[in-house]
Amino acid sequence: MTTLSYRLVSKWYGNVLGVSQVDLDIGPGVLGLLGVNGAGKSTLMKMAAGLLKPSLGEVRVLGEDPRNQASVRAHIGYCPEVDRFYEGMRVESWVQGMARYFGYSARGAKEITNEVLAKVGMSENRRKRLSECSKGMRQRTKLARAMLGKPGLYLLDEPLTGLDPLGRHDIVSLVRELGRQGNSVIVSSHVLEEVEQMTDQLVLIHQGRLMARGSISEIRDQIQDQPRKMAIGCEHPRRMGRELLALPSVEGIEIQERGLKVHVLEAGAFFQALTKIAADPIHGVHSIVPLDEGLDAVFGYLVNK
Amino acid sequence: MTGFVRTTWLVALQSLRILLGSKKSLFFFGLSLLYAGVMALVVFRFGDREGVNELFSMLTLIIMVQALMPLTAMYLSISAIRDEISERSIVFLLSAPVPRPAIWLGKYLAATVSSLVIIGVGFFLAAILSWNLQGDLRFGAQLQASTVSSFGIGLLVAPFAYCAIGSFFALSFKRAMIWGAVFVFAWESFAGSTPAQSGVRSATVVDAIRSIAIKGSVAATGFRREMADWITGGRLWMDGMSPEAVIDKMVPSIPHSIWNVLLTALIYLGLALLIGSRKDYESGEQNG
Repeated sequence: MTTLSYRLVSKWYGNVLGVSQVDLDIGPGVLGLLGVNGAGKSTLMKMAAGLLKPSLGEVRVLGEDPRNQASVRAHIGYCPEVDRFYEGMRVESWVQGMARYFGYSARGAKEITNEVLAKVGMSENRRKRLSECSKGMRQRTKLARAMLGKPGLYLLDEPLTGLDPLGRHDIVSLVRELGRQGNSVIVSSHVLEEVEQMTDQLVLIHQGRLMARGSISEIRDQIQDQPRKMAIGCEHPRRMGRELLALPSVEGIEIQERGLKVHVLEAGAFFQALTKIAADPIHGVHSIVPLDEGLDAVFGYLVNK
Repeated sequence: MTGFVRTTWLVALQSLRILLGSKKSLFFFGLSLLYAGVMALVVFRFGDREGVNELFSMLTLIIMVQALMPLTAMYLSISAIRDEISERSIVFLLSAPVPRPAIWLGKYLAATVSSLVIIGVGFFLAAILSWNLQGDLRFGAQLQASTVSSFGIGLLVAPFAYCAIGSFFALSFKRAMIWGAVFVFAWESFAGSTPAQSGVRSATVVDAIRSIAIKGSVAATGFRREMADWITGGRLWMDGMSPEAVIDKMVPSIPHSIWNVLLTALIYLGLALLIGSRKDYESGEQNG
């Protein structure tokens, strides 16, 4: 089931290209939207939240245009990067006021406010003025606001910004839980580790273009023109290096003190051969670690492509 | 439709709370009270010589109608919309299930009501003070209901037009405050003071409000004589016309002036809502 779809969406800000020809369907589960600052992540989210209209193409949430159909926005939980509120208001009054826009009665707004503030761990700070709240508290308050309409689609723009480690842990758990409940949760970040904690499903975006989609290893498999790097820990690196260099799937090796780094051209053939070589006790192989299946390496390859 | 009215109401209430609790409102409220204070001082000092209706009319025209009302309404209506757009806190409203016109209409109503409250308190206080100060019969003619009500009607309808124009600027231009200032000082003050023959004056809001005041304040004969002289460009006595004849002939009726103000409000509000529904107010250019 598709919750959010982008059909050949482009967005210009004057002469500056924000997003270019993005074609993407998003269903239930947590999806990480990854890219450096200015890549187009927030623009994609804003278009889905109905804040921006695309210059070309169309954006649909549950089959409706979020820009022009106000009712569909009740199903979108948007947590923007913006950190400005009505500063004089108390946390609970602000969330309650927002709840009224989602159709709650005064009493209903009170109840849902209690519920969402508890979910994001802000119950104790509910009486604080927004101007007195720390960055983390403000982030939690925005998340509480995103949960008001009991939405099916969550758009969380850099949700971990400003949170302390405990806060990060809580919000990561919350995001995972929302995904498990069958919601579509899109989390944007430029910090690779943040996204890795929440999901292995990613969309990589760079300079407004969709670079890749899938799990990290799936994306790595798509990159054929970059040799893979493996670290092999062994007792006799030179001896093992000689054997590995004889393989056609190996491009080069770097001898190190207690092992070696291998640059692999063809992963399938290499692993087949490595299984046999490593099984020989003469080499004393004690570890095999892929070095470039981390997000940062994959992202680096894609960006530099 | 019910949803639209409900959300408009909610936006208006919230914006009203924010506007009336802001420092800028306090500033304009202070100016409004200052007007009342000046009125009390002048009436107390000169009321026996000039007549309280004349003093009240002239001061209200100069301070309230031509300066404080347009400035207050323009500033508050632009601020109600533009502050949130420039601070980007507007995203919380724009991403809520609220139709865009309901957001802008709610903010317009909040600005209008705020202006009415701020101006209304000063005006009411000025009228009460003037009334009481001449209550000891030291002054000549009493402050007449017609004088108060004619200015009161003008000040009651003016914010609808000024706030609509302010909302239009706020939704159309990034530097809306500059546009607002240019409108008040260049258009309303300058064009609003041109001779009647030019015709430009009748296109200003201030002219309609002034017309209501001139037409209605029948007890302020000295004020009406001055206005008639001004309307004719100082040719009143040369042409041998009476002030009453000039006012009858050249000043539009009160209903006509009210209609002009409300029509201006409707046109600008319509344009503001149309632009506000179509334009993006969250550029996001500076972000990811």
